[in-house]
Amino acid sequence: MRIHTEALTDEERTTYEWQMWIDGLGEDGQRRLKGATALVSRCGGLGGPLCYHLASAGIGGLILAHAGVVQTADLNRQILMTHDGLGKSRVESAKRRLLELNPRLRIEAVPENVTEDNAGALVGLADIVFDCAPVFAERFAMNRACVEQGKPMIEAAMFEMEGQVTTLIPGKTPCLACLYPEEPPAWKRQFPVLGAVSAMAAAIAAVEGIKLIAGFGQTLAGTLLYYDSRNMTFQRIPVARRPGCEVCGMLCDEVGRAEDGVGTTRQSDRQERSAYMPTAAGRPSDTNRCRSSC
Amino acid sequence: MTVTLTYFAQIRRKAGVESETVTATDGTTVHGVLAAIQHGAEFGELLFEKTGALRPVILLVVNGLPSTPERMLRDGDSVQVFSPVAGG
Repeated sequence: MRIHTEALTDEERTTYEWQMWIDGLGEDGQRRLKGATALVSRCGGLGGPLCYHLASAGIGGLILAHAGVVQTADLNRQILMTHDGLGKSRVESAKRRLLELNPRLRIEAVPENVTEDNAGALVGLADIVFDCAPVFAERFAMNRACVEQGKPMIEAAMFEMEGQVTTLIPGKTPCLACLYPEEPPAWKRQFPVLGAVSAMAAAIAAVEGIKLIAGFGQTLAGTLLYYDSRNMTFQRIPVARRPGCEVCGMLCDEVGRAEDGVGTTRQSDRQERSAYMPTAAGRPSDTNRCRSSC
Repeated sequence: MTVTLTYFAQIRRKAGVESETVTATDGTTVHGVLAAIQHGAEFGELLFEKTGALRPVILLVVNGLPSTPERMLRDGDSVQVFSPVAGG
């Protein structure tokens, strides 16, 4: 797996000592975490705790994309927000809280939701994407950009006391459009949810991303993990690519193997990537198009 | 034959039940069994398009494995019906 790695400081070795004892993670995995940048779409009930876990695990950079200001009804689940922050920028609140935990974290706070217009650019800045968005149009935009750029996307969702997580790797697993070929007509932006339930999905998604970046363990690639916390049951459902998918159907299976699941981020690439420019358009990559041998 | 239906997320709320056992003719398809369920118009709208086809966003799992609406059921089968959910 080609991924940018960064050397650890003595403080980082001390901070992450207990997790570096984990078989398969170790210092090498920790260096990979430090070298990785994740895009998190929305930092609310799902994205908030997820960012917290990524920050505490020592990820190198986070791009937080979330428009709007903190509202009272956010505070049952959006644990990066504060009562004092009511009426203020969500991403700025999230950034401040995350830096309190991990001041070494590189954070780009983007006060925009992901759209078809900015998805390419935002995904282009990251090695891995976490979909924590409540709106399917937003999720589809990220999905398409991830497929075009060969970036993995950890997909997390919840409703009431239920939740689900899966890891999407272009060309290897279904993409989001394989699972949902159209925008669900009945899905509403506001839905019943308990903060701890979304935090469950967030923690699972964080673990998935950490495993993928650090290169150990078995991910949920090709599996939808579903849980019902009313009775605390968990279920693994195999999911497959949909033939003829209009988003990922042109990808060969050889693209985006699980062990290469994270997009390459070489030092030269990182230096060329500037901060997110709201007017920049994402450029699709042609490196993962199906070759004539497919 | 007797099959067990289990609903999730919004479908569960509209159905008003988490799970139910239904009786149908041997070989009835998943679509056929679901089409016969009566839990109100909103339940039906969640599952079916106006053409009567099952919405492609509905995930069907029969005996633990993804399935299709055309799958013919057997006595004792377990059918789980998942509606799409997002984050937030």
